[in-house]
Order: sequence, then structure tokens, then C-alpha cells
Amino acid sequence: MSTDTSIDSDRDVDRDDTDAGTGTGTPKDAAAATTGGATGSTGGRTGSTDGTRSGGRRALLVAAVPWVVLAAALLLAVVGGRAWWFAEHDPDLDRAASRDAALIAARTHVATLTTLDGTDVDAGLEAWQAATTGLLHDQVSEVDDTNRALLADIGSTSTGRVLDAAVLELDGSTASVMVSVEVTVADLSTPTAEPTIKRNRFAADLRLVDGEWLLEDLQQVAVTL
Amino acid sequence: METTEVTTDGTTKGTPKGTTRGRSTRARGTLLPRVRRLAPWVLAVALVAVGVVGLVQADDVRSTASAENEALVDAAGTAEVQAALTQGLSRVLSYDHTAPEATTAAADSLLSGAAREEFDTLYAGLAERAPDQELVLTARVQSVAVRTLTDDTAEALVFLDQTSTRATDEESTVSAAQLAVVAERDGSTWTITELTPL
Repeated sequence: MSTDTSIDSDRDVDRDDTDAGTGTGTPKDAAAATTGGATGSTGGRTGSTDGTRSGGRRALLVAAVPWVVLAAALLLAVVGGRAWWFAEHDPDLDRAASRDAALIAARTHVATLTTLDGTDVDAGLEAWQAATTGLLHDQVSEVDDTNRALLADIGSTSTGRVLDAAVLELDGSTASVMVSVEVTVADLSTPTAEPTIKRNRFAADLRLVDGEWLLEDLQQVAVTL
Repeated sequence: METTEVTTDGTTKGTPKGTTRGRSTRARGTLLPRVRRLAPWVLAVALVAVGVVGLVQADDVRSTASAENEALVDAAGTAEVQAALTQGLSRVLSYDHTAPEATTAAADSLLSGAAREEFDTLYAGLAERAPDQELVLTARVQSVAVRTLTDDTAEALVFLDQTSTRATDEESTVSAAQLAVVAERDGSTWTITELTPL
């Protein structure tokens, strides 16, 4: 057992020599080379025929394999990392994301602004305020008590449902969205009556405020013929 | 075991100096070269993992529904769909009882699939009454917003105005229409495959 290990270690020494391009044949030779300094090197020199030189070249090639593989792996890592970075920082993808965010916000907010519960006007107006910005927000906020009472007196509840919507224009922090809405109006004084259903088309302008798309303007699209 | 081994080495070399040399040769001979031999491979495996994760992540980021939708991202492509639908729908949804073939010709070139079937049903009723009523329909597309756009399909929302004039009532009726449209690209032309009034 002990002899085996010692031969093993000798072989390692031999391999090291081969790497250096001077090593030769048997473990015994190698052992000799390690122990007897000058004699060993002479032996090595004597042994350097054409055959050993090609063996050395082969060994050199074998030794190069891990480094070639490593270089290929490094290239793959660079390519993969680059692809990921560019995907995460693609302005087109940012634009696509903000288009979708504006569309979702438009659908939600237009539904909110076409909905008003006649029995709870205050809550409705509060929701309108939360969905709007700019001039439209000011208008919604300025509805005074008289007008609130008027809205309540109409005695109907309207419910807006967005049928379809699509972004028409998108420019950084502003977007204009086309929205098709079905508004159902129920008369509160005659609950048995069939509610009236209207189809409306809206043009909604949105603005990005603190990362949130809010309605800046909402207009019905009139017939222009 | 190790001691025995070293002793054997020592006896061979015959000097205490040899013993120390033997031990150091052995340490370098077994451990260091093994580490040196394995290190590039371990590093290579790690780098391959980084590369693969990067490529997979990049593909994930680019293959979401949002990322694959080119609407408004591809400005030229979006404008092309808008133009094709504006022009095509004005022709298909306009009708003159004196020249009904203009409408059918437009339908032939622009509509297919479910949209074509729907048009045919609509047109059959129209063609029956039109000559007596002296019906004239004029459609004008107000705006087209493209909801989704890929290489060969597009979905759009169209706001369209239509006036109908009959000899009998001597006045025209105006209506506001909203259409959900699905179109497919066939070479350089867009064909409407679905046309749903909202």
C-alpha cells in the first residue's frame, strides 16, 4: 500500500516534468531525476529524441484544453450577460411597458368617471378625484354642495363598463387613449324599469404623475360628418 | 501510513534533507496540481452557468406579451396598419346604390374569414332594399388605435362615422360606430379577418 502511494507521487513528479517538456518514460527514471539532480537532467537531455518532443507537444495541447474551454465559457458568460443587460435596458421594451400601463390606467379611470352612484355622490366624486389630474382634477374637486345635491336629485345611477380601448398616441409622460364604453343608467325612483344602455366613445388624455397614469382630459368623440 | 512512506523515501535518499524534500514534493504533487487542474474547469462551469442564465433571462424579458406587442413601439408598422384600416374601412362601409360593385370590390380585396361572412350577410339585406330607397352610405374613419401588433397580425379599435341618405326621407341620418378589428398581413397588404361592432 505504502509503496503504491509512493509510486503514485513519483508519477505526479513525472507528469510535472512532462509538462515542462523534459520528462521521460518510467517512474524509476523520474525518481532518479528528482534524487540525483545533475545526473537526472543529463538523463533527460539524452532522452529528448524526436518522439519525446512530439509527446511534449501533445502534452502541451492537453494542458491547453482547460484554458480553451475556459475562454469559450468566458465568451458565453459575456454574451449571456450582455444579452440580459440589453434586454433589461431596451428603450423599446420600456415604451411597450408604459403603453400597457397607460392602457390599463385608462380603462380603469374611464370606467370610474362614467360611473356615479346616485345614492352616494360624495364617494363617487372622491373616486373621480383620485383618478384625475390637472384641469380635470380641479373641475372634479370644485363640484360644490349645490351641484352635489343636483347630481343626487337626478336620482339615477350610471355604471360605465369599458368594452375596448387602445392607445392612440404615447409620448413619454403623456398618452392619448381611445375608449369604447357601455354606460348603463338605472332610474332610482323606478327600480322596476329597464335600465337604459348607451354606447359611448371617448378620447382620454392621460399624464404620468409620480409613476401613475391619471386622466387629464376626457371627451366624448362626436360625429364629425 | 504516511510515516512509513516518508521513512521509505528517507531510506532511499539516505539523508534527513531528503526526507523534507520528499514530503514537500508529495504535498505539491497531490494537492496543488489537482487544484490547478480542476480550477479552470470549475471556473468554466460557473461561467457557462452565468452565460446560460443571462441568455434565458434575456429571452424571458423579450418574450412577454407586452414585449412582443409592437403597437406604438414600431411607429412605422403602426402607422401602416392605421392607414390601411382607415382607407379600407371607408371603402367597405360606404355604399352607393348606383355603383354597388365598388363596395363588393373593396370587400373582395380587404375582407376575409369571419369579417367577409359578416359583410356578406349585411350586404345581402342592403342590396335588396337599396335600389328602392336609393340608399347612399358614406363612411368616414375618425381614428384607428392599434391595440396589438406583431409581424403578421394586428388588433385595432376604430371609431367611424356613417351617414345614410335615402330618397324617401330626404335627409341623412348620422351614426357613430365603434369597431373592434382584427387584421392579418398578407405580404404587403393587410386583410381584415374579424370586424365586430361594439
